[in-house]
Amino acid sequence: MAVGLSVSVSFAIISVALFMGVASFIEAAESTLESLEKGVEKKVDRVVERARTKFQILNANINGTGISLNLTNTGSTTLTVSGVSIMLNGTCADDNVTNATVDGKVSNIWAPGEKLTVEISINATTGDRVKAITGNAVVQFGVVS
Amino acid sequence: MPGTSASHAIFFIASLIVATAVAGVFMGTTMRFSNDLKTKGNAYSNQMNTEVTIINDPSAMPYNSTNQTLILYVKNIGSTSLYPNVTRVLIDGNYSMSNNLTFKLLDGASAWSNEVTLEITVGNCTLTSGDHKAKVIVEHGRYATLAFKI
Repeated sequence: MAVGLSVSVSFAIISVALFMGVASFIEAAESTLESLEKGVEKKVDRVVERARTKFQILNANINGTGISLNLTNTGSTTLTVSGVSIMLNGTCADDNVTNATVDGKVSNIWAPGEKLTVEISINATTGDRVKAITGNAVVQFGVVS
Repeated sequence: MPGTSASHAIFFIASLIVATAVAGVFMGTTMRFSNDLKTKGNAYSNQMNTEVTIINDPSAMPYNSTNQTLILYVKNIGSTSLYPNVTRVLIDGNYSMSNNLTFKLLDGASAWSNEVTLEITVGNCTLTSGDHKAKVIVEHGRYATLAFKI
């Protein structure tokens, strides 16, 4: 009788532990899969966004004490003006931007088909190399004229 | 008869102790395994959300041979903010000591978030003319490389 009780109680204790262990494992697996799923989703979004991003440097002209750049968003992704970086002869000129307008208006949204004009206060000469980079790292090269 | 009851009681208690010990070990192992699984999952997720790129012009690198400084521009193109101070740089495979690195966020940014560019000035950097390679390692083990010429 006592042997039967021992077996039953021991079995109950181990069963409860097994149940709690499996539950904890399932919860952990679910949480892990969820974070992985979110990570993959964001990564895919970034890749798709980059593939749909296209722009052109229309011109880069010397303008008084600096240069004026005109860029057109020719892709299908809406970009941010603040994310755009301009390099002149290898030096990043982000801190020298004096004005940035989209179709003549101050805005941080650079939608497809719109023209972004960036004015930079920097010493430049004709033939200088210009590199423009969008916030999602799509690149175009141009030359100061 | 009392002897039999006592031995039954002893066996009963012993079986409880053994069952509890087995249950405890099982629970402890499962909990540790679950925690490790969660930690690893978060680490992979963080890795996937972290992405940077070196945006320098490889044909016009801002290298000052007199001061032996090279400037690298690294843009955060991932979806998570990063700590600039934990960024490390290798030039041609050589580790640049942290005291030779100066970090500056461009465009008045206060955090190295998405689309923000970090300027890294690598001091004590001697480069001869020719082809070189820079590797910038950020949080979560992610890195970006750039082949450039001087």
